[in-house]
Amino acid sequence: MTRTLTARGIAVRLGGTPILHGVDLDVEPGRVHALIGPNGAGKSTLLRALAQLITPDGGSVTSSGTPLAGLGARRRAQLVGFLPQDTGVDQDFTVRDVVAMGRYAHLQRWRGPGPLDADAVTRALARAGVADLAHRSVRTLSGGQRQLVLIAKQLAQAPGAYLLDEPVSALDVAYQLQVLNLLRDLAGDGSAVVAVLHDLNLAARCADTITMLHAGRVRASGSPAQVLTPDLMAEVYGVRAVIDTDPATGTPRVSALGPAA
Amino acid sequence: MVPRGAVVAGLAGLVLLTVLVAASLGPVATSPGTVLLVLLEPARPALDAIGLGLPVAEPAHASLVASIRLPRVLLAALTGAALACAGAVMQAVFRNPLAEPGITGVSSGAACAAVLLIVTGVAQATPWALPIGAFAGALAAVAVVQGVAGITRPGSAGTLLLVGIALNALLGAVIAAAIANAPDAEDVQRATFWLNGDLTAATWADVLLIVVPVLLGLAALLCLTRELNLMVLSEEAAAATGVNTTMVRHVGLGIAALITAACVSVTGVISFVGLVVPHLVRLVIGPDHRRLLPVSIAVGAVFLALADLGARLLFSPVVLQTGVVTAVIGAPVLLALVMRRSAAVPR
Repeated sequence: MTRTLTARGIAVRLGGTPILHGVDLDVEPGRVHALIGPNGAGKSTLLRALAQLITPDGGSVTSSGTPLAGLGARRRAQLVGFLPQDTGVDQDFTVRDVVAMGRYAHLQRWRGPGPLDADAVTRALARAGVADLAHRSVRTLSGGQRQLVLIAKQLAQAPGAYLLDEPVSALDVAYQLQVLNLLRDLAGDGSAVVAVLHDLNLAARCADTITMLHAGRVRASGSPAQVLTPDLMAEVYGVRAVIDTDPATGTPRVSALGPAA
Repeated sequence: MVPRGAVVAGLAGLVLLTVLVAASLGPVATSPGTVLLVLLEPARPALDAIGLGLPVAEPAHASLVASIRLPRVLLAALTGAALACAGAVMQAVFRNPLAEPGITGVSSGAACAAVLLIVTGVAQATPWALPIGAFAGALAAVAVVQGVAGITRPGSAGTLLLVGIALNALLGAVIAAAIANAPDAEDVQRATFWLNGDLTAATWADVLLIVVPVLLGLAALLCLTRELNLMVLSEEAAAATGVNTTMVRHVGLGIAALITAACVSVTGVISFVGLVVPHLVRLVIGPDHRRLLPVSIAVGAVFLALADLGARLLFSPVVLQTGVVTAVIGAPVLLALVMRRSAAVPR
């Protein structure tokens, strides 16, 4: 299912404080779209507004022309998936049980999961590389394994667009690469992928498009080379940065040196 | 995996066996067979017609079982099932292992209304005043808690918990004041009995009053198991997976409160069943609500029927209140669970 996710004029106030001021975002199918910006820029809030987990005070989100606001929770979950940043799982479910829960939006109320669902779960486990953990309790997993399991749950949900809030922030470098490769893979299949990333060099390597948020507004959006510039780094993050090309990957490399002058 | 049908049949058999045994024991012991005959009595003409003549039970025993013991045992089983299921649902919705049916003010609301009716003498003067008043009190308390929590921060389970705690404290104070200032000492004892859960006077009328709402409520809660599984993982992730979390929270808590209200309005406050039974079951079979809810219902029914049996028999001729026995068993069990849990999970 290839779908374009489009946000227009998203405005959000939380507890009376304005967080987002009219944000536009276009996420094309088949592309990985990174959201970057300093802490408090509104990245997580934007992701939640896109997933309709918070109701924006203004603006609209559409999936290939279908407004998400009027949809029931089930239908919406078939169009947009969301992985929160907090990955704490303290319940004693098996990995397979957790991934199978991702099928919720596809199940009929009075019927149990069928062979198609079991198949989708098996494929999701394999694709995320956690098939060998299927019968383990999620409580016994490492942070990296747990994140892969929760991504497998998203795969089982099979939405048109994947939204992920800092999917690699707590992971070691091997898991970071594994997760980012998985995101590239999903985009390769024609899904739209939006991820909040704090590591600018990983964002530059993994994303087709980067949108830089600053104080609740889009400051810049474009290819990594267009967005990661010394001027924007100074203006948005307040740091003096040197940007060159990483000889190994050919993508922009950001070295933050100190506070901007 | 054991087939689902076998598990359900096994649980139903366990509950039936407990009812048969509990109703056959007492100062005058009868046989479980007598209880079975009493239970089958309404079907006698039909069984005779197909050539299955039933033996006739000893009339004195049959009447003792039919009119005194059976309603009490069935009331205990129904109440245990309802409280345990309500507790399991509330623990899931609040994502808090300490949640129990009393937390939303249900028990305090019922208790407050009941105590006021008892000490003012209304309950003794009017036959149905006590259960109806207690039920109304329970519902009023739940409405206040849900209403206040809805105004302050819609959708937050934590707020609901805090409002419930505040209301429980307020109602507790009213109850204490009403008892301390009761004009009649006999009413004080009556009120104290009620506050500790008392099945002594259980009648068929009590059973008939609650059987339909409790069974319907349990059936409805059993339809929410998928949603509860997702919500214990993370409420936000559940919403993103397609669960209408607001609906599940309101319907789940509402029905749990209703069946609790129905039970406590006839039995009085029975503590610990709603807290301990789901914990115990979760520890043994895991957190999957597709199994947790049905097993908690069965174990709750068995637990309270046996606790009530203990209340009747253990210190005979001194009769303890059922709620006292559940607390006396429940508190040490809970402590043991907590210690085992902290030993198992180094955190």
